[in-house]
Amino acid sequence: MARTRRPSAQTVAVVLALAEAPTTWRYGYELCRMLGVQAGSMYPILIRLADRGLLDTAWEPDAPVGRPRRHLYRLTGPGLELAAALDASVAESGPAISRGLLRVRWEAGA
Amino acid sequence: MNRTAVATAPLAALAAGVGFMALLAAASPVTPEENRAGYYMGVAIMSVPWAVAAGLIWYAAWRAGSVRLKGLDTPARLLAIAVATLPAERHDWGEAMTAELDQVTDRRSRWQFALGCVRTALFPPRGHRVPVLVVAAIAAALVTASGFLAGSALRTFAVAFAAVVGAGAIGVAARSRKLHRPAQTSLVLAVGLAAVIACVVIAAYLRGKATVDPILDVLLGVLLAACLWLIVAPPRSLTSSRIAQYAGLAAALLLAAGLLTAIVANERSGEGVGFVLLLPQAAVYFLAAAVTAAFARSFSAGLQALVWSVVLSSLVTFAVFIVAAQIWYREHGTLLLDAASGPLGQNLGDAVIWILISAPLWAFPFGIIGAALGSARSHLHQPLTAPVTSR
Repeated sequence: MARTRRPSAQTVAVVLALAEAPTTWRYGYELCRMLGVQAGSMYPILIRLADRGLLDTAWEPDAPVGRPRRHLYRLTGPGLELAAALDASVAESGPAISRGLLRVRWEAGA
Repeated sequence: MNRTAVATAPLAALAAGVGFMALLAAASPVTPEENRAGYYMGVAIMSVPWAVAAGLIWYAAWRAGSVRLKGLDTPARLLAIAVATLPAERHDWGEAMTAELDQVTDRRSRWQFALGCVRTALFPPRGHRVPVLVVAAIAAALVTASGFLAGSALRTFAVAFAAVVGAGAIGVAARSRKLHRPAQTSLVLAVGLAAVIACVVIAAYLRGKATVDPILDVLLGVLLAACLWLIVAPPRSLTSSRIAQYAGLAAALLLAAGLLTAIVANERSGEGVGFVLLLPQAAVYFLAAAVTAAFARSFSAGLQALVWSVVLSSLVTFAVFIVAAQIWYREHGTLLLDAASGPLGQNLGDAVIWILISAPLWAFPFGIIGAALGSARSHLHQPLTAPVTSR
């Protein structure tokens, strides 16, 4: 069920970041680095999104030998709807809200 | 052999032994008529089981920790310990964070990432805030209602019981996202719940008819509520062995049957049951833990059997004792414990002090020793709790 309370700036950033490539599975540390969000904030956000059915989670199917399997995340249908709504809201609000959002830096940290 | 564990175990044993001696001395101080040397010798001898048990537990815990955390650096160890505290439904997230930390190589980043994950593991999101507030409101209402609705004789007991039940409910609601079916066996749940209900009803009935020290009222309420929570929502570490739960149940029934037999046997002579409340407990806890540990080849399973034995047998023998004490009082006009004269309510005080406090405290270390001996072949380094990364 979608939440009615306004999401935090970090939650918005995570949702929009995942929505940039909706079919791509992301992992936690990757999201932390890309958004500059600490693990102590990132995992509670991911857990809440998953609890509300906005996030699909899966275990990496084929991890290289010697490395544990990663937990992967991508948005569900309702999650993508939320992302679209948040995106529109950010666009309407203009720079005032945009400045508050964290910037995605996929290429910088990849 | 783990040298550190071997070197530090005697210190743990000494600390526990001295602690138990101090407890005994405080509970039953030496009188001017007593021989001091004899008194302290007796206290020291009675503390030996606790000293031995503490040394064994320390050694086993140290070994288990060193096996489970072997090869991990400090951030990973911290995370492993924190993740082990996560509720069952959050296990995947603990495993996810652990797997991610494995990929963080820079030392500073590892610390930052691990500490963030530790915070998440220790205080996982609740998902929904409303249920916790609702549970807290219900708990507060329950405590308040207990204070107002219970008669003056029952008020302290009722408020103490409701407060601990409410605090437990808030804790469960805050840590878990949704209610789960209890992980223990249905039989243990049914017997345990029936025993708690019987104890509460019987104690309340007797409490309404007799005067009892308010401190005992509080102890009774707190202990019965604590038992209730252990039965309804036991920690994960208590539910991994079904054999242990059945062993605890068998121990409880055996001790209750033993108490009944002793009461019937003493019926003609009119003598109280006295040490029947203490001596069999040590033997039965020892056997339950040893047999379970040997059968499951696990020290941890033996400890689980011990805890279930203590919880279930305390409740069942408490209920049996209180009912029998009333019948006994009607027939003999004396107290069931020692056949001394006294008010009827004294039976309730005796039951709290001897069955719910003294007997478990005295007999518990024998169970630990039994678990250690039972698992001797499989060694003491079996994990005390479920593996950190189990799914």
